Amino acid sequence: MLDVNHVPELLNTIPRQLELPPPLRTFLNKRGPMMPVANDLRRFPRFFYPASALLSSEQTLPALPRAIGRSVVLTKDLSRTGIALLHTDQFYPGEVLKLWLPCGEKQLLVVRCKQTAEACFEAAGFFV
Amino acid sequence: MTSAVCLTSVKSPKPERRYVSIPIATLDPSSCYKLDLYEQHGSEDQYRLFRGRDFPLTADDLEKLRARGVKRLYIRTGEQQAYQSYLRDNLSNFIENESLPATQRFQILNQVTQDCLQETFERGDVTETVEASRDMGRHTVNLMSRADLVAHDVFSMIKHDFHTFTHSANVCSYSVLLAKGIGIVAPEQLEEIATGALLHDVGKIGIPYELLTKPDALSDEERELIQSHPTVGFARLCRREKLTWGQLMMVYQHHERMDGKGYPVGVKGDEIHPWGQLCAIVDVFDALTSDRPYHRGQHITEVLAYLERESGRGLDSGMVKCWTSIMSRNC
Repeated sequence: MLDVNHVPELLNTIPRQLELPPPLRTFLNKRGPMMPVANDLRRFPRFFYPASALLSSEQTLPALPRAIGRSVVLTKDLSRTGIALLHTDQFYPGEVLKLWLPCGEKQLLVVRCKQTAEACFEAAGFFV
Repeated sequence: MTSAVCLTSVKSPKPERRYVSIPIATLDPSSCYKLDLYEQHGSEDQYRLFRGRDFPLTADDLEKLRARGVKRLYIRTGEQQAYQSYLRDNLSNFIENESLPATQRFQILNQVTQDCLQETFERGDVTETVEASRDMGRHTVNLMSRADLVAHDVFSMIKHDFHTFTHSANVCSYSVLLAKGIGIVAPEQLEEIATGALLHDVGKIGIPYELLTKPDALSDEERELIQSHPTVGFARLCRREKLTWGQLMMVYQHHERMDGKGYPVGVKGDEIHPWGQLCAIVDVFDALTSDRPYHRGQHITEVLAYLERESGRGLDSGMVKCWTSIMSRNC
């Protein structure tokens, strides 16, 4: 189990291998609510949320071997119901990830993932 | 169409028709006793009862029909479901019946597969779709291994319409051909590939039919909905113990491209599972050779030329070369 007392220290770690593509670099300095996009059906607004978070992964899909491990991710935006994050690995819809965010511990059900650079995947999902 | 029996009318009768034709080659006297069989009599719209439930068909009847050159009998349209379930129950017998030409056995299988998929797709029942796909995938590999069907036969016998279930059945047959072409010989693997191919568009369940067949340009929102089908399909199937990673990747990655320009993730090269790459090629091939509401099916040589152009860019060059060689033989 993760020693929660060490979470703040771990969160200071920067995900070193993460390769942010230029269009995504700007969000690091942004704060506050995001503008809704066209055809946005979200019930709750999203907020820019550039922060490091600790992610714990394990095998949650029967056919996907996923070693138990922890890594640091960069969060991108957050709403009441979900979060988007950036990571060097690809995650798959249906996977459940555990996240330690500055605002607390959450479980995330991945709903989509997109590759944005050679070593950068943007995954998003709902809190469960 | 070749000289093989055409089963199209069984599934797509005109609304006003009360009877639909069925090929007598699909009738097994020992098991079709639950059907009332009619023979056309006189003018086109007149039928008379040939054999009923109380006086079932015999092997002798079949011989006599063949001797008279009768190739079809008729059932009431209301009995189509019973006929289809009879076909499904007896599929193994047809597939293993060496006295029927391989092309005819393939056509029966293809029709039953489409019917099965149509039923389960329309009901939106993913569990049943998976079960039916596993069943049909096994039968497809069984027949294609036994009968040694050549690609040309397969191509000329399948239907080229735009229904998702037709497309899935076609992609299944093509996937088995290509898998064998690239050297996959283990029957279990071929069955997995066939099943994965039947399921590759399962994420389209729930997308309105009008949208899937819309002849006009799609709005961004509509395109987004259609392009969500690999993700939706994967999410629906990913927790099922009986499906392998390769099969799930056929569902999730069949629109990915080797150059990273595909969707839903945009992965490239060997980040795409080989079965995802395989499925992508036959998916494009069937989509372009079939009639769609928004385009007419192109000639096979044009489509192979297109695949050649995409080879090494969006599609794996080795597999395209293999597919071209398979489809060019006898064509």
